[in-house]
Amino acid sequence: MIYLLLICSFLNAAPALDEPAFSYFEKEQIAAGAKAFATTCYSCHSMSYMRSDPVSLDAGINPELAPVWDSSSWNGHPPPDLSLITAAKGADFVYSYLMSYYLSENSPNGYDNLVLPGTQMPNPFSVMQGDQVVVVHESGTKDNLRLFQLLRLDKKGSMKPQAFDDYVTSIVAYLDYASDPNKAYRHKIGFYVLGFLSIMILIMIALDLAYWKDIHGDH
Amino acid sequence: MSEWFHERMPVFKEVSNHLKNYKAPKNLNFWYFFGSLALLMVANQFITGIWLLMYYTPDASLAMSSIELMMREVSFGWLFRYLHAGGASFIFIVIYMHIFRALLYGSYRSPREILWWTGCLMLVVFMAEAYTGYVLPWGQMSYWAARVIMSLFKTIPFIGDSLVLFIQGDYEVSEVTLHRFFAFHVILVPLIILAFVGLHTLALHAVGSNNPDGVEIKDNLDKNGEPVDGIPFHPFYTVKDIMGASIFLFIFLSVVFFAPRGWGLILEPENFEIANYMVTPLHIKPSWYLAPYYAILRAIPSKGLGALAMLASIAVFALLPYLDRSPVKSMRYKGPLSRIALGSFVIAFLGLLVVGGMEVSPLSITAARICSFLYFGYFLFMPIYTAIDKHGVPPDRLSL
Repeated sequence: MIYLLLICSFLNAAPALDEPAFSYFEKEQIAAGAKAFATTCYSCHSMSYMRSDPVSLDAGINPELAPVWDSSSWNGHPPPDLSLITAAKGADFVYSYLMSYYLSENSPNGYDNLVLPGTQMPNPFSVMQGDQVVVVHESGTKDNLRLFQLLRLDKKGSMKPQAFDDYVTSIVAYLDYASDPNKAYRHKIGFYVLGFLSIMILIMIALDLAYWKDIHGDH
Repeated sequence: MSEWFHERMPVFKEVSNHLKNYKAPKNLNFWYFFGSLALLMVANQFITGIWLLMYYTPDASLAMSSIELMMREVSFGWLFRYLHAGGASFIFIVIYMHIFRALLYGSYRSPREILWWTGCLMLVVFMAEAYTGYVLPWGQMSYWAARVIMSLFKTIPFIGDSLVLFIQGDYEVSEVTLHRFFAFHVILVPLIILAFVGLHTLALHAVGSNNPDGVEIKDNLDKNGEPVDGIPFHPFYTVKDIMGASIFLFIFLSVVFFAPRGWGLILEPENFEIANYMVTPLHIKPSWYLAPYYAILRAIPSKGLGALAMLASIAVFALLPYLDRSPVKSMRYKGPLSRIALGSFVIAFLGLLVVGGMEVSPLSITAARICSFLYFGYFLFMPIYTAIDKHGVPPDRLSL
């Protein structure tokens, strides 16, 4: 019974999320991520809001090729569209989720996930990443532990760990780009807008002082 | 030519008369920016709203995709969306500052009761506008927040159920509701807002602006019958208000360009998922600007009484002209009790704002109850503490 409770608390406790190292100004990383997405994710997940985005089209992410699922497929939970996934869940969540598959005998497809236990998505990375196993700590909890403390690479995959990390990070960079593709441009013109307003503020303060000189004087 | 026109259509003449001949007190300070800023933000919402309207589709399956595709494929579509969504939050910041100014300097006191009441009603109208607009993207939180608010209307005795049926057009919040809210948000409520902006301005021009001293400038007239301490609104306050607007726009546009989702306060993460009737979010919370009232609702165990308290928390503002028994208007000359009361009211309001966005826990409920008590205490005990307070003597003329 106590053992069962321990397992329950083990399942409910949340590990700390990892931050992927990406930037929305790194066009190459985003383009690489789009290609990685097209290779690894696009067979199941659509990207429906990226209809005319050159980065996506170059990578072969084209609405005409998008997978279409019946709403009753996958036991009523078909793979979701991923256009807004980082906006909804956060880039940290998506990255940590993708990085935390581990071997599990209890799961129907052989792998479970630390960040989203019982996930329906089969591990897409088993060949590249290899197989991770959970390191059980003496305290029996996962609360606020980092993923590297909880997971150990048991069997090497086709990619080196750093290369695999870069691969997943680039996917997250592309997903984050897809959730808000104008971000880099917005930041660029944002500085001009604020620069213009700064000058306008200075002029308006000078004008205000000039107009109010007499009012302030005669009292 | 211009004379020919003015004789036949005096609209521009009237407007310029209103601006030039409107005498405003010459000691208006920082807190007096927020009236014109509210007008600026209303204009922003109207203009950006018209652009959004060109692409938005009020259909459950298309609402979110029409917005997201507009943001990606229409030139500067993202800008209009972010200006409109961020503008909603900033309108409430501006309105709350504007209301605080009225509390601080006694702007609700005679002869400004009707001016104050048009403002109180406008607060409710803005909430309706924000709420109906919040539902339109048809995200998860849009849908579930809509259900929570609609369930509040059901607690109204006798007419509750039929009123809800009339508003949402269905037995549950559904696509029909989306169509209705679209109509409310885009035409019905904006028309009411426009009317109230007009009435509010008209009433202001009739009674004149209050000022930080709370002394009527009309009590000191020169031999021409003009207030000695009054200055023409134009050019003096138009220049000042444009300066204030530039500084405000700097802050507003910093958020729009660099943090348009407002750290989850302007565009909530949950609202990037399409509304799903089958999945209830773990934690349904209102937008930050409605959180104080939601906290009051949750502080009371009975839903009906909670809804009543929520209504009372807004309606009680209308009684202020009669609750304040102090012989002076402005906080500058009011005594320590009034200052402590206003301070605790502000703390209570901010406390409710934070608690209203938190998950229900014994701690958050206790905090909400303490804050609700302080919130209502400000109003209920006002006739007592303003009457016994030691007030100062305001000057005969404005102090600059």
